[in-house]
Amino acid sequence: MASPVEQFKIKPIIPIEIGGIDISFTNSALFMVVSVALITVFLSYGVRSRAMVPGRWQSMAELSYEFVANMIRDNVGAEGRRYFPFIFALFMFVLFGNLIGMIPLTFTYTSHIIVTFALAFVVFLGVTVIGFARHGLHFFRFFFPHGAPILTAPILIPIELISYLSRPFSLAVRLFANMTVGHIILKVIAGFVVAMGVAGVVPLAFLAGVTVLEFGIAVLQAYVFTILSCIYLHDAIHMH
Amino acid sequence: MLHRKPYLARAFRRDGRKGGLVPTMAEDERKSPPSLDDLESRLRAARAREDDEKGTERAQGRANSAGMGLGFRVAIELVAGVMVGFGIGYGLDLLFGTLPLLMVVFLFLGAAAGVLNVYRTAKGMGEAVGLGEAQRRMQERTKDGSDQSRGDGRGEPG
Repeated sequence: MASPVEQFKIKPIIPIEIGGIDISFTNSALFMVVSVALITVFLSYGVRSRAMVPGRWQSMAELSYEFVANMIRDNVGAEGRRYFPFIFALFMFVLFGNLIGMIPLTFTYTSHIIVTFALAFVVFLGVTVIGFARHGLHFFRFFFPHGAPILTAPILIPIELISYLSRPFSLAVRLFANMTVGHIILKVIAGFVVAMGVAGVVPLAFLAGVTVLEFGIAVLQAYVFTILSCIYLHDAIHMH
Repeated sequence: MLHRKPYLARAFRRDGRKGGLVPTMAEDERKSPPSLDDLESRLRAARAREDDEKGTERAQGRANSAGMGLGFRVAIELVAGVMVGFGIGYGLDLLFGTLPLLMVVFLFLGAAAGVLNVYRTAKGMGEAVGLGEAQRRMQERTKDGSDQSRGDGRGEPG
């Protein structure tokens, strides 16, 4: 029986090496390209008719647009509008990555912590830069609680700083852990189906339920990732 | 619009519950087909009834999944703080060549930061930068008495 973690193995498809650095086009990269292509097709095909009364595809494209637009309006406010393209791209990329991973024989790129960490770190870096750009050095004042004795500063400031710096990690680990754990569970239960012979219908039924749950988690985690980015963005814009 | 119905249909209507034919009421006879507004309000009433019946059950399920999400979040926050503390300490040690010293110090600071994050998560303080700011905002929210403001106890499930 195949190992349940074999599905996460990165396999180079087109080996490329420049200056001793391995930048091969891997299965992970392939599915990122597939997901971006699918998103492009989904959105541009959906709105091609520009109908007043939307058809099925246009409805879905508009639904995803409005979902993110409302999320930004509710969580960031009017000033968040200009960040819509980024947040929307982030949401669609994570969502499609999670959902494509649910198709058998595909590769889930969001199940690799380096991918989710890269996404989370871009968000974190962007939010910090926006915070500094808008509030300047005033930003640092938030790392020391107002009214605390000044003597506690050498301990409190590093703690607050680490607390702030751990944000991209918790954001990345949440998405990565959810996707990885879900896929391992599916593989392990699928292994039981084969091993148990006729009695395997019991784990098979369970597997069907877990698959539905995994679809839910795939959408939910994309939502959580995006909404947390929105909340961080809100705090970077509206700190005072 | 109701003219020229077969005699039976005019005098009786099928009663869904009893499965038999019952005499129609005189007012039904004169009524035009229900307007869209009427239909809308009846639909809303039916939905509200159903929500009432299923509401408690659904709320229970929501609470369970929110609790699971919170637990998952707490675990991640705790580990993330320690990991970042360790990383910073180890990095600074490599820089200054004081290997175990700063790593140990920052490991403890990281653990403290992890606990601080868990505290903030559990209190529903949101994601404001810095504890002081988060506390101030929470006080503002409770003063308003409105839980409309964003960021608190949104409790991202999952």
